[in-house]
Amino acid sequence: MTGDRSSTNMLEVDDLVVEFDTPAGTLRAVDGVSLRIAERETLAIVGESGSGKSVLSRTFINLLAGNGTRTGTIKIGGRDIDQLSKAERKHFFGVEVAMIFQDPMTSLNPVKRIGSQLTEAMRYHLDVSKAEADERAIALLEQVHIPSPKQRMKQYPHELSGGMRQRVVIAMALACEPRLLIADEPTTALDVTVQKTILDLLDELRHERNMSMILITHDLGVARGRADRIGVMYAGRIQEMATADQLFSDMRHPYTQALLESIPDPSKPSHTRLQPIPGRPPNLLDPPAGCPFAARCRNAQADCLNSKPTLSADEGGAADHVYACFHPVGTPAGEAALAANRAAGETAAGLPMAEVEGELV
Amino acid sequence: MAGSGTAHLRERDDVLVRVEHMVVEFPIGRGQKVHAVSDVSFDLVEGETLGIVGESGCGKSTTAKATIQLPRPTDGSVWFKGQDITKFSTEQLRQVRPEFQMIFQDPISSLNPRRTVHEIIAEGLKVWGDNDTWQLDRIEELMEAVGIDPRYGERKPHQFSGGQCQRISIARALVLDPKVIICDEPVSALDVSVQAQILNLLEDMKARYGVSLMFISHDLSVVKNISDRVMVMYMGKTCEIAGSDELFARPTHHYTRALMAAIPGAQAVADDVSIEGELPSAIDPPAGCRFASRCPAATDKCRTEEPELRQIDAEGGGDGGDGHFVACHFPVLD
Repeated sequence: MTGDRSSTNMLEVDDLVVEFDTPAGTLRAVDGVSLRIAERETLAIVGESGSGKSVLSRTFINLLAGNGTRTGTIKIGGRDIDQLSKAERKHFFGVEVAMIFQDPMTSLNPVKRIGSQLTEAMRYHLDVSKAEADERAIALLEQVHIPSPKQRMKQYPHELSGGMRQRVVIAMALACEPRLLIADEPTTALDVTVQKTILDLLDELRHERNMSMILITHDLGVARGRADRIGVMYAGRIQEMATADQLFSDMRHPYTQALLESIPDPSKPSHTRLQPIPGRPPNLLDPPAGCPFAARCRNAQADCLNSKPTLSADEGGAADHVYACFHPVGTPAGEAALAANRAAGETAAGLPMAEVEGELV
Repeated sequence: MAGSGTAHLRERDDVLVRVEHMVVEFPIGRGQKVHAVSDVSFDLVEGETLGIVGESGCGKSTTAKATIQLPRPTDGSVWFKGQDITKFSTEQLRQVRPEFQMIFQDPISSLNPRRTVHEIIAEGLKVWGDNDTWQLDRIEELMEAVGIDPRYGERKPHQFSGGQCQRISIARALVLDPKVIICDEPVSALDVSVQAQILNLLEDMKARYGVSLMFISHDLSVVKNISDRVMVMYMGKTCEIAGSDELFARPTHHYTRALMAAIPGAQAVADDVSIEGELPSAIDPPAGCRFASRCPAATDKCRTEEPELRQIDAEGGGDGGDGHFVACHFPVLD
């Protein structure tokens, strides 16, 4: 599935930290993320709103708000993006790495024709004539399965449906043949039936063009069906990363477990009681000293409150399954922590066990 | 107009709302009109949750809103407590309005940012306050019930998270002791962990205050979880209606099957049927079955003759005995 892992990495990120200077103080949106994406691989990043997944993906394409600062290294296709010369930068972002945004309604310019929006990047980045750019744009529209592409070139975004617009946005991202595609919630604004066709299209294009892809989503179902590996993000940190199958069948982090349990399962009968995650994510302006999930976690022990666990793999287990937890699910340490909390009636963070298991308000 | 049938309407004493042949059309000038809802019938029994699913633009929100006469439907009748409320005068309608409440998709923008939580929840009581049974101390009880600390009554919506705002919306909807609450995509804007809290809360409130829900969502897993009965809509028509478990176990309309196959990550109930193409124009809807242009099994009959809703399980069979109805000439029956 992941292809040859020993081949060069498309993306290498080491100890990435992104901080924003806000009136209320410094907000650390991404807190020490390191990851690798191989060529032709799809990595999904899942997490709730505010977990930092969008900020993370935007730093890869050099889109950082003015009040943000970044430390740590990002290598795309083996090249450190901080080492690029000014001339190289100009034709790097948008060419080597491209992005698809969430809302197809607002990511197109309403007063420009589809054709001119599609050819704009090509004319700027690649040295092509207008006629050639037009030809390539029509071919792109064909590739994303837009019927009668010649007519579409002359239309405005409001003349297309949401699904068609998202196809145009995808065609725009592909215009300069990127090797890494970042899709930030590409189907959230679309109907399920359209969502399926768009995700199928992305799969198809990724294979055709040997692209790597980062799929940002809050939908675990989408991540499971479309990604080789999945990273679960919470409070700016990757809490668990594994191949898609491993993550669902053999999860280690209590947050992953809680997230999965909170989703209605269509294979269960109706009115099955759902298990929400109690509490709220931590305030990133004043992050907790220990594990950010400890306050909502059913396995939380005293050590979770005092120090932050780092990502590591099971001893002797699969090296590509890493998690940041002292008392992981499905291990003796996790079982012991859970049993101790059950006996005490509450977790070390003072959360009553009744709220995390079974009966609720 | 060819009917979509009323075979699925139930003859029971506890039917609370009964909608027959409802049509909603919006004129758009030049003599043209958008056919938003075309001859939809359904009923809602006491304490039941009816889920309505379909793609955007299929008329699911319009159906629910026209049921409570916002706007009044172009044609058809809505029976509530033995009276047809489409025939009501404005004042008569005002008198029954407290029985119907709504919860909207975006919890933050559906609360007035300049009012306190207490004022927001109390507004209905102020309008109907002369009735002795509605007292202001009910607000604290309600805030408690939906999980908002009553001490926060003087706070404003921006001081709460999205999930908490949705709890406030639920309290506001419950304050006048309604019979029916329309939930229009109430959890779509929420994260999954909060979504589970709100869905559980809706179930609890339904049990505690004895309301019926009309639950609109595009998320099939959510609809299956909360509904007793589910109606699938396509272009202003009912495709299929059945008990929640029955519908998900045995989808028979080709559109329902395509919807289920599109649930991401879920094991496809049906084989991999995806639907191609776009919704036809609602200004000039096709004759015959409206899904025919995108249906894998469409024949000439489908393009000319409109299917009526008919029962496909044995009389009194299925779960709950309310039956499984489909509007298709060639449903998939295993």
